[in-house]
Order: sequence, then structure tokens, then C-alpha cells
Amino acid sequence: MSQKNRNIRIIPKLDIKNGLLIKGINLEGLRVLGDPYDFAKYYYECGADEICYVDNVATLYGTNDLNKFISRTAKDLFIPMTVGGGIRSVDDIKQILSFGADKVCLNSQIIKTPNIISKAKKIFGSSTLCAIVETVKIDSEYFISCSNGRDLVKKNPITWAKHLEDLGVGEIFLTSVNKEGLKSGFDINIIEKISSKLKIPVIAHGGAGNFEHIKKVIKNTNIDGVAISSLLHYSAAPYFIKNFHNTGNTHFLKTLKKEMIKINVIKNLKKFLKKNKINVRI
Amino acid sequence: MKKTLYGLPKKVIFCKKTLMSNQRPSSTQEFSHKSLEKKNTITFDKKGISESWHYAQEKKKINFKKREKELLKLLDKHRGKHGEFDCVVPGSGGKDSCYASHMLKYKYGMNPLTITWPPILYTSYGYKNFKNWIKSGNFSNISASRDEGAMIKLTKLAVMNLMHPFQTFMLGQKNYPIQMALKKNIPLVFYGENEAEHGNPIADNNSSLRDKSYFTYKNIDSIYLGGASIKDLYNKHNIKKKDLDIFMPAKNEEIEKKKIEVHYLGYYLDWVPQETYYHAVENCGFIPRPFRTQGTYSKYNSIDDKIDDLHYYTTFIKFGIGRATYDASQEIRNNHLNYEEGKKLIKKYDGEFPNIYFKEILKYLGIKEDDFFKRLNKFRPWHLWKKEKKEWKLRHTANKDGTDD
Amino acid sequence: MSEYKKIKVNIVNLGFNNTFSIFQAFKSLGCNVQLIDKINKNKTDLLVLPGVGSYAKGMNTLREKNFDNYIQDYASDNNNKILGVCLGMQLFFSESCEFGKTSGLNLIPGKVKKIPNKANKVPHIGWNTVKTSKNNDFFKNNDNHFYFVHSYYCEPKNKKLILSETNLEKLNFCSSVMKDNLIGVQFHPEKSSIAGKNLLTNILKNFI
Repeated sequence: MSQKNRNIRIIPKLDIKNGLLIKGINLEGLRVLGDPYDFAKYYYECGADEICYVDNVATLYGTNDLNKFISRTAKDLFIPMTVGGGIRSVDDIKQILSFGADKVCLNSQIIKTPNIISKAKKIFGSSTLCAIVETVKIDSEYFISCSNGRDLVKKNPITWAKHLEDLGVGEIFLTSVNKEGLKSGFDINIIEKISSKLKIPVIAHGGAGNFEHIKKVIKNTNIDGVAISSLLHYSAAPYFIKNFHNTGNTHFLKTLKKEMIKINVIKNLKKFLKKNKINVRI
Repeated sequence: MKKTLYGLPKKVIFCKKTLMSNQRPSSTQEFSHKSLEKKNTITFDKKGISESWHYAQEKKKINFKKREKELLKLLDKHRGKHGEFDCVVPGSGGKDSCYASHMLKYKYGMNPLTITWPPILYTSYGYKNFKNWIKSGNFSNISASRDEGAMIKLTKLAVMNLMHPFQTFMLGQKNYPIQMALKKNIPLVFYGENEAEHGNPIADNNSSLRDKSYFTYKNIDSIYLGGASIKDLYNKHNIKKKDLDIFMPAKNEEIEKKKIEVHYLGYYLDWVPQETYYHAVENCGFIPRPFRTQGTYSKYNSIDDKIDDLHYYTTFIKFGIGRATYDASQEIRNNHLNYEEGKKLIKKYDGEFPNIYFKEILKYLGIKEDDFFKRLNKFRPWHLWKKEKKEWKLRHTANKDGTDD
Repeated sequence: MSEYKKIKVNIVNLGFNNTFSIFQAFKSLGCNVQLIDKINKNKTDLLVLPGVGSYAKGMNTLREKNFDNYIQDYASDNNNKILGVCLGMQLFFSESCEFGKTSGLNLIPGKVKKIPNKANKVPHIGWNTVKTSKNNDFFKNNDNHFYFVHSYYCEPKNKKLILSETNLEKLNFCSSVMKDNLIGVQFHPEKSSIAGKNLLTNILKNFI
């Protein structure tokens, strides 16, 4: 039985700042799209396999604000949640799990102190620990970044990912910073290189603009799942328009017109993938 | 009372709303800039709040539908009336010029001639953005070709006389498009945002027009480039007239004769800086810098010239205001960031030394590092800087962690 | 749903993983749920041993709180029902080879082994199908996709105890087990959407 027979996971990824769902391009820009709870619940109802939340500014500001949100969604959503952003210690991990998360994702802290993984692994097990790898392509060379695409780190992502696997991380969440938010396809080159080298699961993220892109990245790499942001959030935003008084770039939201008829993009995507001989949970 | 450098306000105040400092100079006539002369700074009210905050609040009340009607009226007057092109849009493919040119051409049916004053030293991604801008918008473009030797001499002078590495770029950016408008007989010129967005007197903002004094001159003796008079530039520094002309502002009489009007598109359209980034990506193939800009937290503002980062650093030395402060206070005014977030960003990034391109720039200009730093320290206002244990530190910061706070 | 309101569920809180979700899952079915982190001699209808984490940490935590003896005693009376989820199911077994050899509760003879990663991606994370050969009351009338997240699997000595099996690339492993008053599931019903809820409902209906 080949790797391809596993069910590919479709994972909506939500970037959250100050309790609002935001969507950038190349992990830059803080355009508000709505209340993340509305989107998370909707995606659960649509058949998402997992949900991933990342607090985009936790490392930047040194904060941890997601706990309330995690509990609120854990009450109503019965699918796994992976949560990340600003996780700096074993205590942070314990706390996030206690609020209802199933896996945690880390990046900046692992780069700073890689032994956080060996400490955490002994308590929580490898399968709880997910590492975000942000790949940045400059001309034709690849590097990684941290603090949500802000700080460049001169390491090669392939060797870094392998190192993470050796440290005991259970899963890699691979974001192509250059492709993120552009809806023009994935960086199949780097995804293929990393997913074929590792023995742990790899989730590809960054670039999904249409179903063909998603089909292409699954068929041409050894990934276990696809994380999707722009494609889903922009489609759903008109259903959940609300007024917000918090600080944030709500300009775009104010230009949207409310849409009453909802399209289940996740279901349609899964049907499309199944038709193209890709296993998914339907 | 000891005079301060540039006659800056002796007491340092940070805007209670936007964190901008009262040391910030307001827009000047770049071409009459003499070394160490007095600078006008932005205004604060009695409560310690900057005028730009008040402008941002007033902006919320503006009826942009009405403004758009004014714009349409203006455009109707000029559309198709001046030969091949009906307006000039200065730009380099940054997010603002992408937005301005794109809106004028595709939303309002104009046929803009884009005029580019190229960066002193292009970044690779900046150049790609320029190309993508022209290609994606199918724009006609004239890029200034200037004598590189003259450019280097002027820039070096600007650095050593004024500690202003970016002056030659700013000169060309402000003057060259006007020269072209005159040459091509296109009287309508559109810049993007009014600098008022960044803290100039509100009085400037009630008109769409850019004040003529910023880009015209009456008397050639009033012109100083790189801190040197025109005579000195010709005679002492051996820059040929024909190579210097491209940096010069236009003669006032010529502007009057050809009725050149320079407008801010930002007067007519609700300009949200962060949204212009999205627009530029989605429509013009704009890509941000692949890493954070040194000295600030963002990746998409002014990223095409390697010297820009150094420019902001010298601003930090001269006025105690780093790039993170500029970016954060603008975002606070637009309600994208709050005060506390701004403070954290300023603490983390303000004054970060731009080492990525530094050596390359100095080599290009023919300046030795030692000479640069010696000269740099002469521009540290005494009322802003204190030397503690061989290290220069700010006396006052937005986070109240300066030596004198 | 109201029929479940009378069902008392006690969930052992090991303190280092997500017990919030399984608590919410039973609560949403209308049960009277409690999280316990010390031995609670009050009668309960279902004792749940959940967990994601390392085997050694799990066993050490149980021992520290004296839960190991308590559970072994509790299990000796067939009227007491215990549900083990993921690590909880693994703890039922005799031993695990994680970080050397660690003894388990030994309620079900058998070993806990690492999923070989030569041909399989390890950890096994994601949705997978569960195949039951027996006619059983728990998996009927249900979608058979459940969510798994584990690097180790259980191998009961007595194959007849296997309730369901699941396939990986090159491994067929026991995804649920039943011995008298014990049920163990390797997957997470509280994270398996409607299928998971249905399974828990079936357990509440037919096991207790």
C-alpha cells in the first residue's frame, strides 16, 4: 500500500491577531476578514479535517492571546485543532493543550532553543509537536524565516526540516512565504524535496488559488495534507460580515457585500480530489 | 539657552496618540536645503497630540464620493486632450505608484505616462517590481537616464554635508517628473499620497494641489544641491551643467506658462496605505521584500533603493526618530495598530543599524567607513543624544527608556 | 439525548494533555461529566482514561497519584466500565517499548510497539478507516473514518480481543480493543466529528 492511499487532510489555516481573522500576502499585511470563530465553525460544518490557528504577532509582541478562543472553538468543534504563535516554553504548551488544542506548532522558539523539543517530547509525545517551517526564496536560493515571515534565518529549509525530525517533532507545517496569499499555486519544488526526504508527515501551505493547484501539489509530492487560507477565507468572508470596534485594517471588510447563499468549498474540493483519484475523507 | 541643532524644539515630546516625536521635520524644499539651517517641525497641540492625528480624525469625515466627483471633473477636462498621454504619474513600481497609475488608467480611463526616477542602487526585488508594474499595467514609461558620476558626486556631497543620503533620489523624484511634464506638454501630474498623511500642516491638506514652492524656483542662487550652491557644483566639484540640469526644479515662470498642475490622488481617493499593498500585489505583480526591512517591522514600504534603509538611519540620528516610529505612527493614525503595539514595535526595531547594504553603499559612493561615522556623529543633536560608556543613547524615547527619562 | 443525562462519566486528568475536548464531547451528549485528578471513590457509570503523550509520563503520572492501583482494582469488578482513548488504551497493556521498557497497567496482555517508519509515515496523523470484522454494537450505523494521532500501536496477545483494525502503508494494526468491561480506542472519538460522537453514543447505549 503506497503513501498515496492515506487520506489527504484538508486543513483551513487561520491567522489571528487581536481576536480577529486576518489575511496577509507573503505573511505581510493585516487585513481583517472577520470573526475567526464564525469561520472555524463553518469550516468544521463543511467537513474540514483539522483546523490550524496561528497568532501572527505573538512572537513579535511577546504575547499569548489565543486561549479563550481555543476553548470557545473546542467546545463546539469536534475536529482536531493545531495552535501556534509565540509558544516559548513547555508551560506554554501545557496551557494551550489544556484549553482544548490537540497539537501545538512552534517555529521561532525552536530556532532559538532547539532543546525545547526534546523536553516537550518526553512529556507530550512527538505527535503533539508540530513545527512550522517558513521557506523564503531569494533569487534561486532557499532560506527559512521566523516571527511569521519577518526575520530571515540563513539556514537551508531541507536540512532544517530533517534536523527537526531528528529532534523529535511529529509533523512539519511547511509554508512557502513567497507563495502565501498569492493564490497562484504552491512551490512544488521545495515541498517535494522536503516531503520526500522526511519520514514524518508534511503539510503544505501557501499558494492554493484553485482546485488544480491543490491536486497538483498532492500528486507531485509526498505530503500528508494541504493547509488553505486565502482560497477559503475570501470565499467565506461575505457570509459573516460583522462590525468590529477593535483596532485593525477593516477597510476591505467594509467594502464587502453580504452574501446569503453559502458555497461549501471544502466539500467541492474533496469531491474534485476524489474524482482525480486522491483519497480524502468525505 | 544653548541652541539646538537645526533649531529643533528643545523639549522632546511624543504624540500621546501616535507616538511620533515633535522633532520630526515637516516637508521642505529639498533643493534649497543648506547644511545645519533651521528646520520646521510638525505641530503639536497643547495636549501633546500631533496635528497629523487630528488630520486623521478629520479624514474620517471626508465625503469621498464628493471628492471622487471632483476628480472625475478634473479628469474629464484632461482626458485625451494632450496628445498621446493625458497625465503624468511619477513612480517606481512601489505600492503607491502602482495604485495611482492603475486606478487612473483602469478605473478612470486616463492614459498616464509613467515617469521613473530610478533608485540610486536598485534592490533585485525592487527592480522586479518595477518591471512587473510596467508590464502588468501595460504602461508607457520614461526612466531618467542620468550621469552616474554626477549622481555619485551629488550623493556623496549630500552625505558629507547634510548627512542626507537620500537627497539626490528625492530631488529627482520631485523634480524630474515636472521637467518631463513640461517637456511633453502634459499639464496634469498625479502624485499619490499627500505628505500631510505623514504629518504636514493640515492647511496643506485642504487642497488637492501640491504647493508650487516644493518643485519650482525663481532665483537660481537659492538652489543648493548636496548642500552646495550651483556655482560651487559647477566650479568646485566639476559637475557639468548638462549633468546637473536633470536634478533641478522647474522655473516658476515655465510652470505658470504651461499651467502645470500637480495633484495628490490621495486627496480624491480614500487612501489606505496597507490596502494599496494588497492592490499592488493583486494588480501589478508587486512582491514585498523577502525579509523584514531593517529598522522597522514591515516588508513593503520603500524597498527598491538600497540607500533608503541608510536614509532612515540617518533620520534616526538627526531627529531621534527611527523607521519603526514612522511606520507605526502611520498605522496608528489609520487605526491598524494601537498605541501599545506601536510602542513595542518601536522598542524592538527603531534605530536598528541597516548593515545589509551599508558596505556596498559606502563603496559605491567612495566614502570610508571611518569618515562616515565621524561625520555622522556631528549630526547627533546634543539635546537628543548622550554618550554613556562609549555608547550613544537617546535621551528620550517613546517607551520612556531614554537616559534622561 | 435526555437519556444520557443520568450517565455519570469520570475522566482521569493526567494533567499534560487536552482533556477539555473529551470533556466537552461527553457534555454535549448530555452526560454528567467530571474531570478527576485524584482518586474519587464516588460511583460512576464510565471511567475514561484519555491521553496523548509519552507512555512513560502517562504511567509515572498514574503511579504518582496512585491511579494505577485504583484503576486495576476498579477494572477487577466487571460492573465497572472503563474507556481508554489513545494513550489511555495503550496504558491498558502490559508494556511499551517507548524510551526503553515501561510497564503498563497490564489489564490487557500485550505490547505497545512503535510504528515502523521504513514504509510508514510516523507519527500516524490524520483520518483513517476502521474495519470491524465482528458484528458489534459500537461501530454500527456510522461513518468509519476516525482521527488518529499516534506513533505507537497496541498488539494484544489474544487476537480475539481486537474490535477493529486499521491499515497503514505497511502495517495493519489494532485500532480498538475490547476485554469484558474495558474498551480501548486508538483514535480520538472526541476529535472525529459526527462519527466520533456517534461512536460515543453507541458506547453509552450499549456498553454501560
